[in-house]
Amino acid sequence: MVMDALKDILLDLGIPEQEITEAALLRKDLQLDSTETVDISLGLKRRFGVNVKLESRKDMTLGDVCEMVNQAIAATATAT
Amino acid sequence: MSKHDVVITGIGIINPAGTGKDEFWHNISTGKSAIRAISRFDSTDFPTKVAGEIAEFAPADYIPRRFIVKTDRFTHYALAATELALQDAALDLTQEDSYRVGVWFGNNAGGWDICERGFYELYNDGATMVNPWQATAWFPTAAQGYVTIRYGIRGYSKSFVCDRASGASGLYFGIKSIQEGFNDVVIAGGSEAPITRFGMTCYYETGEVSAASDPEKAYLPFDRNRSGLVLGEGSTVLVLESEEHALGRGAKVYGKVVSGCMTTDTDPTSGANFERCMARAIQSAQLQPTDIDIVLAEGCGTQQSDRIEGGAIANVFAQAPNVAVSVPKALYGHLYGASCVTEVACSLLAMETEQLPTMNQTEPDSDCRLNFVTQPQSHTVRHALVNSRAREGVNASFVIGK
Repeated sequence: MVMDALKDILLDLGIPEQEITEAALLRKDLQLDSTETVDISLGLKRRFGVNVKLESRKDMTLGDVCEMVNQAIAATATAT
Repeated sequence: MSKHDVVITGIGIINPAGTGKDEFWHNISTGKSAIRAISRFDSTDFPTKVAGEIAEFAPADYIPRRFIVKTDRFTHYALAATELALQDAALDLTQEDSYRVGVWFGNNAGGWDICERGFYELYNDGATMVNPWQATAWFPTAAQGYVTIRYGIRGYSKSFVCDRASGASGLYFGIKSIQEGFNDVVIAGGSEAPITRFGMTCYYETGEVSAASDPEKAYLPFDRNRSGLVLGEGSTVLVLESEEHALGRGAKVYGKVVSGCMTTDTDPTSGANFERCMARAIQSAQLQPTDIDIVLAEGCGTQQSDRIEGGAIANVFAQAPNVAVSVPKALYGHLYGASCVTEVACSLLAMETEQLPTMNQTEPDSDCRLNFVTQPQSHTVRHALVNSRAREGVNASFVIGK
């Protein structure tokens, strides 16, 4: 579910569909700049109501991003 | 004396009157106006009713999607006009020294489409939900920035925000960058996209925008019934090269920038330095007023501004009172950042086709008695004088020749 949302966001940004895989790295593979990374965070917040910080020094895969979102959703559910 | 002569080898036009130089010129030389009732938003309760809008434009025809998302409409127009100009010049920038190619643009308004989106995000969803391109896409230098990124350009480049003389300023200093040896090639031009509710409100506050609702009668430069200018949108980009660079690659040359001059009337109600600006441009071209075949005037359409310019032209051309004068922007709207460069393009196309650009006029003003081109007209053009003047009295005049 999260990967589908992530895919929609990346397609909106103009990333070619064949490049959008769970193993793709945000910076090394998709060449995302800081504004595009912020837009992904905003898109995820709009869809799932969670804050995920993607601007870390370490490059991460789309799979890592999905994992972060799922953890954030679970944490919100536990808190309420 | 400048060290390098500057020639023009490419024209790219995205304009309400047409996409590409051929469609544009067909409409301008036959006097077909592109001023229409505003369609981009509901103008029912709005003080301005008409504009020069670009009806059909698909950015994806010219620009990769990743660029489109990050940029505002005025940058889309600039990227598209640049692509058309480079194709027209048959210039492959990958074969050039990227440090010897510059981009010199004018833009007055910035990106209001993205600003309005940002306002909605801020007031509806809060500050943390404002799109990440708010600062970069709005900024008036965005057009220059994305053109340099797109083509890997790294030479001396600048953008100018100077009211109605924004385009003229970019052109003037871009020319200098070649004359003084900083660049071999300059992508010169400008872009505007102010036709949004907020953008047009800001312009209306200047007091220079016509409130007339009849598209045919809203922008009538030098006419007795003139009521101000009509806003247009679009981009014009010219490829400038040093003459030796253009000859070296066997480029088709449209014409030459024979001279350019800028002055300022510190009192905007005076045209003394506007007159001096035109006279100096003609003098430094080593020409006489009788050598000029057409004057493309600023023609901003306000009562005062046209009276000042009409008087200055009459004085400069006292020995050549029948010189043809036209304001082609009356057919597509004032383009601010793309103003002047669009009229330089008109002068090049007039030289090439021996047709003059036409303008609207219904009732001549006895204070501005000049030989206006109000009907399609064939005429040989050896030299054209192109004017630009900002609200606060910044003047520019260029002599364009073969």
